[in-house]
Amino acid sequence: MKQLLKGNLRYFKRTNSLFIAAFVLIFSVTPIALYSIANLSHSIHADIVQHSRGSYDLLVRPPEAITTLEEEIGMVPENYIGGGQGGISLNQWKSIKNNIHTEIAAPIASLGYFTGLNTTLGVLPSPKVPSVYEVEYVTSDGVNEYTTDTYRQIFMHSAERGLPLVTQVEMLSYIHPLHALFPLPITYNLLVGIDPEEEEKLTGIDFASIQFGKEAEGIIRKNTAGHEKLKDAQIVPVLQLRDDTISLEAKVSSGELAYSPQEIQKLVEEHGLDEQQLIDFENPGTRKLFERLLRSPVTNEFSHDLSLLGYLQPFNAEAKGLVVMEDGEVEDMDTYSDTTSYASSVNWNSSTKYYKAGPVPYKRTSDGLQVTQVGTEHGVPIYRSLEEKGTTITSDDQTADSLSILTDPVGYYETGKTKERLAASPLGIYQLEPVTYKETDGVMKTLTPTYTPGSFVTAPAEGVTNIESSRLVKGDTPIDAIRVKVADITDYTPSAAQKIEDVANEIRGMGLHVDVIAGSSLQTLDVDVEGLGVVQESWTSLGASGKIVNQWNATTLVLAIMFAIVAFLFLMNRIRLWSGERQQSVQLLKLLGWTSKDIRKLYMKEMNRLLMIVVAVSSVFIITFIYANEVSFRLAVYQVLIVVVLVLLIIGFTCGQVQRLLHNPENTKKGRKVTRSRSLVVRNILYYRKSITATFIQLIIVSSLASFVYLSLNESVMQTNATVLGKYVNAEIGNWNKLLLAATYIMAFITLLENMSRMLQERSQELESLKQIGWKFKDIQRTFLKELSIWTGTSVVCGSVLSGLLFATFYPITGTNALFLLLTSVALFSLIIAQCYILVNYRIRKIMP
Amino acid sequence: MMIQIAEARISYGDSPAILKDVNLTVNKNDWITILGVSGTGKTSLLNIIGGLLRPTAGEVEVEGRNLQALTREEMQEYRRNKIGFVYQDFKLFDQYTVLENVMLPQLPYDSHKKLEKQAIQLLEQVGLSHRLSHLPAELSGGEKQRVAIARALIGCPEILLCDEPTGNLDNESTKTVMRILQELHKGGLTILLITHDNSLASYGNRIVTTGDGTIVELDGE
Ligand SMILES: Nc1ncnc2c1ncn2[C@@H]1O[C@H](COP(=O)(O)OP(=O)(O)OP(=O)(O)O)[C@@H](O)[C@H]1O
Ligand SMILES: [Mg+2]
Repeated sequence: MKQLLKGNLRYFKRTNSLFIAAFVLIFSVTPIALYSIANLSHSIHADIVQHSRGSYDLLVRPPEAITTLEEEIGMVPENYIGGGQGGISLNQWKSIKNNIHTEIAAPIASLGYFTGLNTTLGVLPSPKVPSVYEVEYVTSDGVNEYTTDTYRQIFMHSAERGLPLVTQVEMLSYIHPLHALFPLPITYNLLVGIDPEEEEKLTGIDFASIQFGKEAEGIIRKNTAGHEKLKDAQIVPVLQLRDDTISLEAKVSSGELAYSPQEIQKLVEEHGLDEQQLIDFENPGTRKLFERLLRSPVTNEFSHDLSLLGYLQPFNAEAKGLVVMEDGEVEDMDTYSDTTSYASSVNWNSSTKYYKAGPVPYKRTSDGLQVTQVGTEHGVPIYRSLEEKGTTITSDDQTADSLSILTDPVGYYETGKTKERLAASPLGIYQLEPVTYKETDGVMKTLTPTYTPGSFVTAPAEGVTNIESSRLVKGDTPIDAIRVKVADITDYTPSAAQKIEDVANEIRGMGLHVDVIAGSSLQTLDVDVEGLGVVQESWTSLGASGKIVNQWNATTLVLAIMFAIVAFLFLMNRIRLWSGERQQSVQLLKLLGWTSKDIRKLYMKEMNRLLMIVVAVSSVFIITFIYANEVSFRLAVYQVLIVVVLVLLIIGFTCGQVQRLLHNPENTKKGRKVTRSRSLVVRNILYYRKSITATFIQLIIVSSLASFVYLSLNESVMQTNATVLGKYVNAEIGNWNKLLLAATYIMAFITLLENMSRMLQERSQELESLKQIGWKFKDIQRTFLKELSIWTGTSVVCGSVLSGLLFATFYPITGTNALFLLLTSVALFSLIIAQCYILVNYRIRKIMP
Repeated sequence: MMIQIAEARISYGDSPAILKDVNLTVNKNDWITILGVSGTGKTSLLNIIGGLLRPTAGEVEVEGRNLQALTREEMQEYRRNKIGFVYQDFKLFDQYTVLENVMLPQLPYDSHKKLEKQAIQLLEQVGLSHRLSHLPAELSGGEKQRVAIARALIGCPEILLCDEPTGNLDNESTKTVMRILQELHKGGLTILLITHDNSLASYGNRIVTTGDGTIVELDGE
């Protein structure tokens, strides 16, 4: 027996080496595949556990505050305090805070858009000869600029003589005989109530100075003393935001009129105006003269474009104005007015008026979200409804509520830089995620809030005060949202997720709406904003980590199934070829009277011998792989496992194959039918139907999997890439899945190659005969290639259609996907034809050197 | 009485019978030459004796044992121990040496040493003791057939079935092979030999012809 074994091994040296090579491949690749699949899910799992918990876990809001859009798309916008109508009482908050499972419960209450004192902007140099001064205030939403106010005054005489000419009522409070003075724009800023302690736990920012009951220095009282309507207003301490993003620019310009005072006097007379009429800004003659002078040529012009950002305090409480120096620098009026008669003017007019802004009315369309313009405010488009509250001090409206609070700035706070966060925990009031806009030339612009209320981009909380103060403005249920961090959790493990869900349910029991923010991630949405264009806004995608895990689980499963199918085909095919080579010997042994048992024993022994070599070689390979790539030794464990499984499988297959040879010897000629088709090629295909079938089916499977798996892998990456967390996970996964894919493609390709090669070998007799009857090399080649391309082409087409159907059932079909499908089919077909060409040529060359 | 075929009928599948009413008695140490036009069922006749084919009707008895009654295992044993086959195309294993080829039939069933000795002896008998470790590919046609005969004898069979053993051989080789068979016949072997060469019939003691769907024994010399 040993001798026979040696004989077999010796005789089938070439085919056995192929066999060993093929099996070494599968014995090495399968553990690596298993390892990579395990790694894939391990890596995803670890990332989710580590990174999907943000600074808090639950977002609690009153049910009325949830828009249907949010519910439909399962996302929360960054600025979720929206309308700020409140709905949660301080007592409810306290009971959540005091729950033993709560680590942090940080409330927010939007009070509305407030403004402080309104002061002035002086412009130097002061006029020495008749001059025109103009100040334009401009704000930008990041895409467009809007001129909100234009103020002008004309000095008709040398500086000492008379007031400047104005035609705007707002200017009346600011005219000064010697200096050019203008009102600064009234900026309305979001004021938000928070709990200093809880907010500090959440953000690390020190908010102690706005503790309830803390009185500020009292500047505010001093500066508002005597105002009847402010008498009862409570003073609330406010921390102002340092790094504000609100856009406000001033365009300051001036020029000297080319008229002498005498010439101007003449013009005044020409317009039939006296001193008294000149002061009347509504007088038509005055207006006519104003227009006339405005159109006149000027000399010694200057102009400055100034950003007022950083100069204006959102909640100004001091009678400090600004002045534009001759060199264009902006300075505090205080420092300047010491030496001159130049002084700022203070105006409380607007500080008793505030706005409530409604939520942005997002609408869902087929392409994403859409926002329409609601109206304009000061010439600036607004995207949320504005509700004016209170009234100006000068207003005679007695029905309006008197203002209940006065904002008293006690300092500044900073939010720090925006950084990429994997987990979303929208704090709601700091606006950390920029909204961007892509210009037609590809330049990304960051959208900014305008200084007027109601712009698309929500201004961050320019001021924060304590939550108790919000009651003064909003009544008993002032809180808009509570951000809750669940206690005693470190990582986002399944049990942590369960605990978070339990706490959420407990709070839901209080009649509040709770979104689980843990496990969510930021996702960029396209929003079509009327007048702005399509902008990218970050929303919090709830349950993102779950989606990522599910998506990857499904994809990994698809990959694993594909690998298993291909590996199985590969294995089966290899054993089929092996037993095919031994078919004649088995028949002969049977003829010589060997029993089936002994015949089987002989071949199983041979197979065992081969497997021993295979296991040895592949083990060496795996060990080398482990050392070379610094891979975990787990891979070796996988290999042992795989070896056991594969060896059992192979022995099973082999047994089956030998049994089949013993009891119903494969008769390849059986079932062959000669058809009466006219084409020689078609007749060949039909005649060899049986030996073609296996390869044909294999080709269908391979071609359908080739594009489907790649497409679904791509699709998974795309879908999970939507969120920041998904992007991170995908980057961490790296190339494990590609390795798996590559291994599968290689095995599939080898399977096809071997089958094709065997088929042609089977027909070497036919080639020989064609040669004997005098066919030319080219003709034999053409006939064979024609035949091969017909049926391989058919199976590739079938496979691609199958792939398309498979893909369409799981994912949306897009143009690029369809194109990819087409291209893979073409590529695969080309590869196969190239392979056929080489094999056919090799075979013909063998008989026709 | 060695082999007894009674009223046997041979057919493949549903096609009409190739041989009908086959009656043949083979005695011990007979040498029957089977002649007949191609396709008339000579090989089929040998195959029912060799147990490779079952008659669709009738009986085949060898040494009193009904072949139809044998199990698969018993049939293999019968073929291994009672029958030796020699074919026109030799049917040697290309992967094994001459010695291995000869030992092969009994290899799983007997001690290696004994078989080797026996095989060497048989190869000596057919004049190939100098070719023990050659592969079939390295032998001439005549040599191959002599290896095949040696192999057929390894199980000490009582019946040798030869299907045109000289069909592929030249005159010289044919003579060598026939002389070996003659020796074996003298040693007591029963031989059934198919041939297209009528002159070879003189080696045997009986002649059977196939044709017209049955077999006929030619009387006398
Ligand atoms: N396996 C088979 N299946 C179907 N028909 C067969 C089979 N083997 C032989 N035949 C048919 O049986 C008939 C007899 O065949 P057989 O081989 O016995 O003839 P033969 O006399 O030995 O011919 P030859 O002298 O050419 O060897 C033939 O017509 C053949 O076509
Ligand atoms: Mg025959």
